[in-house]
Amino acid sequence: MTDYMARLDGLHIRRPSFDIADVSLTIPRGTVVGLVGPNGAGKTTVIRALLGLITPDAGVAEVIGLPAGTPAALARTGIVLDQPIVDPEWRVASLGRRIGPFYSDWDEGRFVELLSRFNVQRDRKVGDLSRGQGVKLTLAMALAQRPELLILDEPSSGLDPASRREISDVIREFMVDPGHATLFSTHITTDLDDLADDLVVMVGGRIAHQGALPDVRDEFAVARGSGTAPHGLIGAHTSGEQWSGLIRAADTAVFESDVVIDTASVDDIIIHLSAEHERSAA
Amino acid sequence: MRIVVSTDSATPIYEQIKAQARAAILSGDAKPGTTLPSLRQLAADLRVSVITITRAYNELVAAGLVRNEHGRGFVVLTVDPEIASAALRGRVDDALRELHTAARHARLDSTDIHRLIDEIWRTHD
Repeated sequence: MTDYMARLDGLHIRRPSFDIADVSLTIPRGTVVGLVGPNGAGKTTVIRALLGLITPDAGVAEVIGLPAGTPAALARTGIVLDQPIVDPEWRVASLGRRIGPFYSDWDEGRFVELLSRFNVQRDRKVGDLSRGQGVKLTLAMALAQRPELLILDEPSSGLDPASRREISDVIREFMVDPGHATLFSTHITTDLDDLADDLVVMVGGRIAHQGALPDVRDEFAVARGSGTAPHGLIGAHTSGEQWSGLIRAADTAVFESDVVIDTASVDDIIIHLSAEHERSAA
Repeated sequence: MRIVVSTDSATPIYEQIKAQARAAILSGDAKPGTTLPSLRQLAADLRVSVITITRAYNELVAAGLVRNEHGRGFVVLTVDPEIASAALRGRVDDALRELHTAARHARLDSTDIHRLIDEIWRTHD
């Protein structure tokens, strides 16, 4: 058993509309990796590469030691995209019968149990479900395949807090097995606070920062002040006399006492790293 | 072992978990040879990430209070009774120093504090 579940190494994907450059990341077994970044940063492209839906121009995409997209790799990957990928005319109750046969490990009992726990009505048509119910249905389908790797692309946007809590609870239960791994792409970064072990920040088709989530948070701080902004701020923002920017936490000591230093949230890190990227691209 | 975390405390969650497990071990509530709650199950139960619990448990290993045994989990070690009671006394000393500072800020003198302590003792015992 390899110690990593999936990996991308030196991934380059060039298309007219986007450009993924030198993306390398690993998803170790036993780990929840949070994938964050502004719209268009390349998060979904990275996920598509891991599913073998897009062929890289250079680099390696592997899942469970196999090239991404091979049937054996896909069979062990549960996928939650932002909407159900089955026919909207199908009834929820019929899904096990319709899609179960395509998966060797389909667990109908688990599927029914998750639907009832999520309060997804089984007599409804898929197309008549609310967005939250649709996401929970997709998650139930993904977990009923008994996957080792769970990939979620923006599952929580537009969901109420109770539904988001249900989703993260189920992921943590999935992660009780140390052989499992999860890749969670989201804009709602607070969903990662009590869930993710590692964080990958993508900006402009590249990885701007990655590491253990607590380390990433400790590594940065937000500096705020009034007057002339000092040099060395990452993604500096000014508004009238006020300035703010990201700094390395290790550099805190060089600032004057009238500068306020706050802990950086994941959102602060994303916003300032992408502002820095736009500044250097301009 | 009872572990309860507060999400709006200034103390990081892993520190809270470490402190509570440490207190349970030093006071003898968690007996030598028993195992700490499964790391991954505790993460799911407390609704925190696995890395949070891992950090807390690793620091307990570094402090010589538990050992990570393959296949068994984190096993509580026998703690020298003198070290244990010194550590527990240390917590009291820390609390007293903090109490002293808080009392001076609140302009309470030693007599006031003694009276308050007696009151707490009566209501909690």
